[in-house]
Amino acid sequence: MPQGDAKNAASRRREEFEALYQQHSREVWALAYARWTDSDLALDVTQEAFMRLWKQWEAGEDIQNPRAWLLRVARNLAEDYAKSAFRRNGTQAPELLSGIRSSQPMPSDDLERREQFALLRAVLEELPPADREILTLRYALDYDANTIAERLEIAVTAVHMRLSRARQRLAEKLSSHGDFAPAPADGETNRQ
Amino acid sequence: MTPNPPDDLDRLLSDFFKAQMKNPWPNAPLAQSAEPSERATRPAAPPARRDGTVRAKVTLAASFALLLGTAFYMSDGYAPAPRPNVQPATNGAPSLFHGSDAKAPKGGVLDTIGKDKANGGAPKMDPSNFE
Repeated sequence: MPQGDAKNAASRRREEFEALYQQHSREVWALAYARWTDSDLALDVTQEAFMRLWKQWEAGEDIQNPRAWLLRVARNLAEDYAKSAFRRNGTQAPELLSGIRSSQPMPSDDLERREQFALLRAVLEELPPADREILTLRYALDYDANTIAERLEIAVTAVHMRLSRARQRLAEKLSSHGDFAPAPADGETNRQ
Repeated sequence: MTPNPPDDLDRLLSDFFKAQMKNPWPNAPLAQSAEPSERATRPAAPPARRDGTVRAKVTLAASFALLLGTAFYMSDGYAPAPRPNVQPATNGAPSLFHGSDAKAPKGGVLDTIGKDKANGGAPKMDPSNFE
């Protein structure tokens, strides 16, 4: 193969990779975030998953469904993190202990908001992973019920039900902290 | 902090999750080779490791020097102090030290044991003597 053709092929592959990243990286991030509620860790997992995809391509592997492949790898990476010594020892970065990422400092007059976020993070961590996943897809990625149903491969009615229950559980937990009144079970439909 | 659900819960969730996502969203990993990720560029980490290495080496060298100095001092480095010429107290009996003509004194414990052995061992105990 002439050198120019090889260069063009590499360039096309690179463009395809970039397009995949733009299309799916946030969803991969959301999956990892829903697992650990750690934004930086989720981003590391996302980048690692895409790096592995690129290496697979470099090795000549043909991946039929890159999105499914990426999500599976990200899920495995997130689970591997649970087995790592870092996690086992219960060590967490100080910025996680405060409930707020230090990389995005907020204005000093936004203390109440920071407290809300810290409480929300703590409550999210108490929810089942499936609840966190659907809430992340809904609110981080702004997916509507149809898209969530497609992504999770479940029925749209199931999405409404799961989202509603997740919100309800979240509101109840917030309420138990005395900061929030429980939301109506069908509250999420207002955003559809 | 008493928002009215459900709108405020929606807003709170939306704001929270949006705040968790990087803005701007990072580039694809291969495009970041000239622009390392945030974690890789934490400023204090690499210098701290180098400082720690240097400090450890200095500590090791100082410890080794101290060890050598101590060994030098304890061996031939300095003339030993003169020892007092004092003979061990033996109460007139011959010395038991190596090279001496030491003998156990007559009528001591060893003599008593030797006599007991010659008489068939130590006297047997009579249990009726113990109440």
